[in-house]
Amino acid sequence: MAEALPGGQPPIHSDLARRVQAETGQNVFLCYQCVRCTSGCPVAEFLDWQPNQIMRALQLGQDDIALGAQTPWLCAACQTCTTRCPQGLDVAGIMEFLAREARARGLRPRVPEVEIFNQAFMREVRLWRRAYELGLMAEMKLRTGDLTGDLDLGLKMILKQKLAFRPRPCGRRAGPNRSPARPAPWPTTRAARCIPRRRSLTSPPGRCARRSA
Amino acid sequence: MCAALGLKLIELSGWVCCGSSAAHRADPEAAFRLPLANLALAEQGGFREMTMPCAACFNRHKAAQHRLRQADPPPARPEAAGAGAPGGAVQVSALGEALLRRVGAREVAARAKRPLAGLRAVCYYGCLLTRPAHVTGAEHPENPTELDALMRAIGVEVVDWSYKTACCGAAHSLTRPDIVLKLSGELIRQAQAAGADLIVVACPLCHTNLDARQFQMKLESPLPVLYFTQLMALALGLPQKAAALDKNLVDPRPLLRAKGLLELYP
Repeated sequence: MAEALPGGQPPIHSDLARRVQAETGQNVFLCYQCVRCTSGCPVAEFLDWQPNQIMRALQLGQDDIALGAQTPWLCAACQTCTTRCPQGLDVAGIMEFLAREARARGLRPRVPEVEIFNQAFMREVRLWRRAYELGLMAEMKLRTGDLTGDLDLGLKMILKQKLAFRPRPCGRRAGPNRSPARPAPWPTTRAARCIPRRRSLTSPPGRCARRSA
Repeated sequence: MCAALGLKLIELSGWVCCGSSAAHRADPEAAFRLPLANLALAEQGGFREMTMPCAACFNRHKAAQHRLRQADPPPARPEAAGAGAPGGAVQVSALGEALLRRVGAREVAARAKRPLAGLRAVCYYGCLLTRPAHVTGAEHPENPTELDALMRAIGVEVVDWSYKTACCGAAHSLTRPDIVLKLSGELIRQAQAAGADLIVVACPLCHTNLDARQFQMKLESPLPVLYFTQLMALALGLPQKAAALDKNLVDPRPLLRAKGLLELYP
């Protein structure tokens, strides 16, 4: 949807801005470039485009910048920008949306590790209904190909018994707050089945093998 | 530690992961439903308050409740069929906040048999305990004081610093450790510059980033980082085991012994 501008300037494409508004409820045209988001951003020095520049790109319909930047992927979700924006914009929420939108449009994630982490984490949660850090770390290592990084750290943490070897799936004990079986609180998607089929791994959560009772 | 203060904690049977920092990026619907499942469980179990020791869990549960309040009209119950309540009525609180509200700083001070005099600490809150304020309900998102109050109550000298709510790098720990090392390293250096003997934290991931990664930071001297309940257990006179001081990668025991706060031979 291009809006004609006087004086023969190139039209502004606001499709992505409209998508942002529809999905996150945020009107990017409220941004007046005070740059507080960027000033407070802890990861600013690692970004190719600063948060305020992304906001400007959204206003101007520069989708290639907004969707092609590393910024949405490197955002630490610390919420500093959202907290400080004088216009009350949820800048961090917009970054999250942009990363999702880039994936939905078939663009490759600019920081693949982050996408791998997100997917691996969600897979652990689908399998066990809880986080399983060691499994998550192992999958990260295999998928990123970085097999040696932080091994010393992992070893130290295992020696301190800070990392459990086995996942501790969510078992439902008989208790005062026991409830009838519920459907899983997430849509069961194909991603959950990416791991080789084994009964103990793919049986639906809530009926975990070990602690059914 | 909570039991010693008369606060009885009950683990919610059947709790699920809140989705942490991955869900709200990858799948916002799951990020909403997972915490809501816990809240519904708690409500069914007749609990009125849910407290958690992790800043991200706290934030996700608060965010789910925020979305519940925003929804207009309220959404159909995600876990419909008999599973019960939407979970908006359970009060979600971070552990420090719960202690302050239910026990109170004065009571903590009265029960501190061994006040930790002579210990200088900076309190580090990190991002998600306070931000964004419309979700967490924090009164002072840029200058929270709950931990300060608890630490003062047990005799710790709280040192002021500007990095209370700066980011440690959080979940980039597994994706971009270089970013975490830069941010967390800066926090340690700033705490040392402020003259602190140790950092007190209230989030397990912040703790991992600040404590376990210190050996990678090329610091001149290490700085112990303690979860706030560790110090409170010591001050309440609980057995040393309850403080789990051996679990820290930067051993805090030499510092505590030097200050005369720990027996030489436990």
